[in-house]
Amino acid sequence: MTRVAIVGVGNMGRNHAHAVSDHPTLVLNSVVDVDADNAAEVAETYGANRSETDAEPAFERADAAIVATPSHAHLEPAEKALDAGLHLLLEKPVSRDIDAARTFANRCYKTDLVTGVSFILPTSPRTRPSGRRRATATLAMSWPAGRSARFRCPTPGRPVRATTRCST
Amino acid sequence: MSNSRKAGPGDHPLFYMNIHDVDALLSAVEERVDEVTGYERRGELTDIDIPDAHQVLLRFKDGTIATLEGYGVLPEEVPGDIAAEFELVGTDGTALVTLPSEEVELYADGYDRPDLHYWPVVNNRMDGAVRRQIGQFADAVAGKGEILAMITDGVRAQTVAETARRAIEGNRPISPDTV
Repeated sequence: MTRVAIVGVGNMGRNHAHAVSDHPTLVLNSVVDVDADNAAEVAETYGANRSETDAEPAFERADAAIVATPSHAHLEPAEKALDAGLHLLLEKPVSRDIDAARTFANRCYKTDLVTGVSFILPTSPRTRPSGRRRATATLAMSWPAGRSARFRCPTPGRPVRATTRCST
Repeated sequence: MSNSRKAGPGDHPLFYMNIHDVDALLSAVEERVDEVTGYERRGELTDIDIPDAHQVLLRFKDGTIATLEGYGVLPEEVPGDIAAEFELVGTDGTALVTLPSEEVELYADGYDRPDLHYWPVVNNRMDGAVRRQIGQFADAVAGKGEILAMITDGVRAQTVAETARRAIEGNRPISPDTV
């Protein structure tokens, strides 16, 4: 069983906690939040072993971390998770600062740990009908092919126009 | 609008909301973005220093053109909490994805189209895209598969979103190569 620590249990953190608690090979070991009452409530609701207000003791007893803190506070717990040798799922954006995000991506590229960003659209049959996904060259860095997987959308012929709209 | 306020001051909707759409665009077109421009409207959410709405125009290096729209001021009564569309027009046809879907419509005290896609709870269990993502993360950790969206994908999408933000604020087209 993989022990998971979730850092930040606002709306998305709660969704992650719920999904982790339902998964047959994952154990929701720790729930971490700056709000102790919130952490305790989420831990009780989803059956976590403990609640914390500090990520580091949670990371000592975990194999993987999900970081869902507010976006200005993503990188610090993410870096600490990798320091602790944990696999990582990080909410988007990687960091509010694009240069810091690139530096962190470089670190993730060099590790053998599983490191992912929480883009859920690729998991949906509506937006990802088949295939795996490849992160091709980013706009300022490049990685050799084979490091990632290929994503194919059912593009009808050669794309001419795309429109996307999101409202909340 | 409450979602916009929950995201918090300074959390630009290009990053907390539209970055998913940028990732979908990049994956669908499978080409790098050449240039980005756009406009925004500020008003209702000025107190937390984020725009109410933005529209972005992108040109890809292969000539594909795309629009990216984000609106953070829907009224609370809007069904489904998040309204999203993705349309692709190609030389051989079109593809359209609309969320929330119309598979379930509820008429009671009001009208609702419950979320069946992102994080629905079915028989007290998490379902939908979040459940699948956690499943894939678990498989990757166990060595049984690969994570679908890597940190590099996050940076790739964030670079385009950052380019859009700077293009809007600078009122001029910008290439992501300069960001």
